[in-house]
Amino acid sequence: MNIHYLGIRHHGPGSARNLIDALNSIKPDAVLLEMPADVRDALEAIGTKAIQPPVALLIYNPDSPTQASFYPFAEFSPEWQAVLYCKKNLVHLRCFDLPKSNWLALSAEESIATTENVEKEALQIRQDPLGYIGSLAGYEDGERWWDNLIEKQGSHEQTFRAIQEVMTALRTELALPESGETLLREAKMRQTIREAAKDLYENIVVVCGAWHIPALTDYAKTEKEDEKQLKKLKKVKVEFTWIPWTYERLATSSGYGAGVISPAWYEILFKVKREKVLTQWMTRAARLLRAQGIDASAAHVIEAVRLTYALAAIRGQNLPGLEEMLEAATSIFGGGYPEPIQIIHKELIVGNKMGGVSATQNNSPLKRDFELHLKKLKLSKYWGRQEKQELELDVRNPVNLEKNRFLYRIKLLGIKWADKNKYAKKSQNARITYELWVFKWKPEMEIAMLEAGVWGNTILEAVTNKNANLIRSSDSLEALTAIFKDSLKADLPELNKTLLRKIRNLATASKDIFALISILPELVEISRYTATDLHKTDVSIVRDLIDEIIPRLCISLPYLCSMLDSEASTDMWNRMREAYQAIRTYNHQAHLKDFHDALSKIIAFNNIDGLIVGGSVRILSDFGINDIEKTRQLLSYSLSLGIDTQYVMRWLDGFLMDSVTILLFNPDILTIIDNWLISLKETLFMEYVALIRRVFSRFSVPERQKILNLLMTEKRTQEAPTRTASAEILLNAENVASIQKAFTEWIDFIYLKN
Amino acid sequence: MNQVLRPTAEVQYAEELDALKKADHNPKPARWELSPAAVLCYLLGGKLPNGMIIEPKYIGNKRLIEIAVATLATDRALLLMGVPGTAKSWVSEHITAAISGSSALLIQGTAGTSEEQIRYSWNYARLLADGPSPDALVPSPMMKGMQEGKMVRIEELTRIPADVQDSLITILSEKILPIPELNAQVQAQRGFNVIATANDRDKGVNDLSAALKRRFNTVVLPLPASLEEEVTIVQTRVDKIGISLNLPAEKPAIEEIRRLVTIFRELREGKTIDGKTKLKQPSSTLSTAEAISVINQGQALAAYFSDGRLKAADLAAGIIGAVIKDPVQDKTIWGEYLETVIKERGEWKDLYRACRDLR
Repeated sequence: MNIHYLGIRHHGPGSARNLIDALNSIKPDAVLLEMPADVRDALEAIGTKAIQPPVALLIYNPDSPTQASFYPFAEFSPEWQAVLYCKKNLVHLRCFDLPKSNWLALSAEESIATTENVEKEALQIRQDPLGYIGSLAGYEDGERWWDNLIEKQGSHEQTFRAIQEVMTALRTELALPESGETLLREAKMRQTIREAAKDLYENIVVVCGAWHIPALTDYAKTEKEDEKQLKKLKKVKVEFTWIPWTYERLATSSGYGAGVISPAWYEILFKVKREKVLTQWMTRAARLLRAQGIDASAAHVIEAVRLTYALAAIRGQNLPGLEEMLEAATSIFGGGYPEPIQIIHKELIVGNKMGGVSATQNNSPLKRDFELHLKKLKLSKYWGRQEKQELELDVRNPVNLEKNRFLYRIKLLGIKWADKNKYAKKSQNARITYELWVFKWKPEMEIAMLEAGVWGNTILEAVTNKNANLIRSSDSLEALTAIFKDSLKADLPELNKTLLRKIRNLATASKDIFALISILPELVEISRYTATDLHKTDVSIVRDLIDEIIPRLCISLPYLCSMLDSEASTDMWNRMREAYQAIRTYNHQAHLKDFHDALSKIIAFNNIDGLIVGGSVRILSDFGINDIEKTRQLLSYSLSLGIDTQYVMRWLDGFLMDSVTILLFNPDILTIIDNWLISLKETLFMEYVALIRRVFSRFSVPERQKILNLLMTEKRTQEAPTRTASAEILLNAENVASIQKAFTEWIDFIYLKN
Repeated sequence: MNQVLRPTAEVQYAEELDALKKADHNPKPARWELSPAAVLCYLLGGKLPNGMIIEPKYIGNKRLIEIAVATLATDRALLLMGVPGTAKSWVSEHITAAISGSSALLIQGTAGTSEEQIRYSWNYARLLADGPSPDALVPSPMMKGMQEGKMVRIEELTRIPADVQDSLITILSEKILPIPELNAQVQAQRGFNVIATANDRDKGVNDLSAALKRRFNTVVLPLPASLEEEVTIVQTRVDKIGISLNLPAEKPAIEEIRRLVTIFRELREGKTIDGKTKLKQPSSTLSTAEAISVINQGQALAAYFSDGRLKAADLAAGIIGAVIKDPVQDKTIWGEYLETVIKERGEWKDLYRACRDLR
C-alpha cells in the first residue's frame, strides 16, 4: 500500500497546478481531503451546474446561526481541483478532517487549551507556513516562492517531498504549541488514514494543508491515544449550504485562514503558464486601461514588460512578481501616478468575479433568521405575495416599534420588499409617530436574500456589515444622510456612530453648499427624533452638526446664488425653502437671524435670479424683518421700467410664493402691482399678460375672487382702467381666449379715454 | 578651501564614488562607471566591505529609485515628475554623476529653449567663411552625450515649448541626431540616455505630447511620507548648506525643524498630525525644499541680526511668506490655523506671538 502526502497551500494556484499533475501521474484509488467529515455530501455539488466558483460552503448550527464557518473555494483552490479530479475519474473521495458537529461543540477553552501565549507571528506561520518560508527567502508573495521551488525541483514528486521536509523541519524547529483544536483534527486525520488502509485501498493520496503533513506520516503509532481523544467529543446539530462568494470577499477574509490578497492574479497564475503570465497580464492591463481611455498601446506593453524584467533583475529575483509588474505599469501606463491605473487593482488583482449558486440551494442562516423574525413580528403574510399591501404602524406601541425597526433593517439590507409610502402627507409630528409601509414582494428577493448572506448570518450582523462597507466607500453627503435617517430608525447604534462621524467630517470639509443645504432638512428631522424619545439614539451630535452647518450655509448662500442660471436657481430656491422650513422647525433664534441676514444680502446683490430675490423679499416681509414700507420700495424697484421681463416675472413668482395673503392684507402692494400693469405700453403689456396669468393661475378661484373683490371695492373711487386691468386678468385666468378678448377691450377702452 | 559656491555631485562625493568603483564587481552596462546595484547603493546609502559608509542621497521610497535605475538600464529615457521641492533635480544630478561620472551635460528647459539648444548650433563666423562643415558645428550637450555615450540631463522639460519638446522624439526612439546640412547624422553610443525632470502641476507648463510621453518611463517623486523622514531630510540638507555658506550660526535645534516641518505637513495634508482636527489647505505647495529654505533664511537672520541661535521670531517671517501665496484665501486659512492650532499648543507660545506680531 502506498500513501502519498501532498501538502498544499490553501488557495495557492501553484499548489493546484502541481496537485493536478501529481494526481494524474499517481492515479490513486482513494483521495483523503482536508474537509470536515460530515460535509462529504455537500461536495457532490462541485462540478455540477448548481454552483460556480467562487462559492463558499457555509456550515452552521441551525439552533444558533452565529456558530458557523465558511469554506470558500475558487477555481484555483487545490481542494476544488482535487474534488473535480475524483468526480471525473470516479475515484473514492473521503473527507478526513474533524466533523464540524464535533468542532462547533468544542467549547472556547477546549479549542485554545494549549495556545494561551500564541503570538501573532506564530499564528501567521501556522495559517500560511509556505508564505512564511517564502518571506524568509525574501519573497513578498508566497506564490512566487512556490514557483521558484517548482522550477528548481523540476517534478511534482520532488516538490511535494521537499515541502514535507521543510514542514517537518519547521514544526520541530519552531516547536510552536498547537491548539487543542488542531491536535484533535490531526488525530481524526490519522484515524481516517488508518480506516482507509483497513478498507484495502492500495494507492492513497492525502491532500491537506502542508502544515499538518508531519503530524500524519506516523499514523499507525498513535491509534490508542487518538481513539481515546476522539471518543469523548460532544456533538451539535450542523447543516450546510452553498452560498455565492466574491473575489473581493476572498481577498478580505477566508475560512481557511490562508488569506488571498489577489484572487484575480491567482486565477491568471492558475490558468496561464508561468512564462507567459507577465505578457498576458500586461496585455490584459493595457486593454483594460484602453477601455478607460488611457493611452496604452502594444508598444507600451513591450516597454512595461522590459521594465518589469529589469526591476526583477535589479532586485536579484529570477522571476518578476506582482510588485514589479504593478510598479512598471504605474510608471509606463500611469505616467508615474497610481491613480489612473486603480482599475488594474480592482479587476486584475482582486477581481470582481462573483460565484453563482442556484436559488434552490438556499438554506442560509440569514434566511432562517429572517423567517424567525417574520414569525415573531407577525409579518409573514407580507412575504411571498406579489400584490401590493400596506401597513400603518403607530410606533408609540412597542410591538410596532419593533416591527418598524425590523423593516428599516431589511430596507438597509438593500432588499426592496417594504418601502416607505412617499405620498402619505402628514404633519411634522405625525411623520414621527406614524410609519406607513408599502409591501411588494418579488421572486428576485429570494436571491437578494441569498446574496446578502455574504454579509452575515443574522439580519443584524448582515445589515451592520453591509452598511459599514457602504459608509467606508461613499463620500456623498446626501447618500450618507439618507442611510443615517434609516439607520437611526433601524436602531443600529454602532453604525450610527460611524455614520455620524463620517457625515460630520465630510460636512466640515465640504465646500459643496448644495449638498449642505439639501441635507439640512433631513438632519433637522433626525434631531427631532430625540424629542419624541421613540428611537432611543443619542442625537445630540446631530444638533451640534446643525449648529455648525447653518452659519456656514448662511455665509455662503448669497455668493452661491449669484452664480446660478435660472434653472439652477429654481432648484436652489426649492432647497432654500425647505431649508428655511427646517430652520424654523428647529426654532433657534440665532440661526433664524443668520438666515434672514443671508436673505437681506441676497436682496442687496444685483445679479441673483428674480425668483430667489422675490422670494427673499417675501420671507423678510412675512417675518416682519422688513416693514411694509421697505417691501413696497423693493417691489417698485424691481418693477421699474426697463428691467428684463423674465426677471420681473420670476421675481413676482417668488414673491407671491404659494399664497396671496400678502395681497389681501396689504392693499398698498396690490395697488403697486396694479399701477405697474397700467403703466405698461401696449406691446409690453401683451408680453406680460400670459406670464402674469401663469403666476396667478397657481391660486384657487376663491382666492382670485377675493383679490378681485378687493380691486373692485377698494379702488372704486379710482379711475376705471385700474380696476379693469387687474380684474380682467384674474377673472378670466382660466381661459386664454377670453383673456385676449378682455384685453382687446381694455386696450380699446384706454385709447378711447385718452 | 574650495572657493566654488556649490561643487557638483561628482566633485563633492568623489571619494564615495571612487570607493564604490573599487568595491564594485557586478556586471556593468556599457560605459557605465558603476553597476546598477552600486548606483543604488550610492543613492540610497549603505556600507562598503572596507567599512566605508555611503551617505544616503535620497531619503524616501527605495522602490522608486530602483525603478529609476532599472529604467536607465533598459535604455529607456527617465522622466522624474513631482511638485516643486521633491528632490527631482537632486536625484537626477546624482544618478548621472554615478552612472556617467559627470553631471555636466545639462540642458536647462525654459520657455525660451530653442531647438538649437537641444540639437546643435553653428559658429556663424566659420559658417560664413567656410560654409557648412563639421568644424563650424557647435554641438549641444545632447549631441555630446550621444557621441560620448553619457547621461544627459534636461531640467524642467515641461517649461520647454511643445514644438521644441518634440525634437526629442527622434533622439529618444531612433537614437540618432540627423544633421541635414552636412548630410550626416550622429548615432548615439551605448551608455547614452536622458533623464528629464518635470513639473506637471505648476502654472505655465506645456504638457508632453503622447508621442513624447511614450518615450519616457515616468517616476513620480512624492513628498516625504512621514514627519520623521522629512525632519531628517531638512536637517541633513540644512547642515550641508550651512557649511557651504559659512554661516556664523549655530546648528538649528532639531525642535525648531520639527516644529516647522509639522506646520508644513499639517497645512499640506489638511489635518493635524494627531488626525483630530481638519484644516483648510492653502494654495502654496509647502514642499520640503521650502522648509529647508525657510530654515536657512532664519539662520541667516539669526546669524547677522541676532545672537546666532535660531529662534521662533527668525522663522515666523519665512513661514508666513511660504504659506501665504494667495493674499486673500491663504491669509484667512493661515489666520485660522494660527488661532486654532498653534495657539492651542502650550510649548508653541513663542511662535504664536512671533507670527501674531507679523500679521
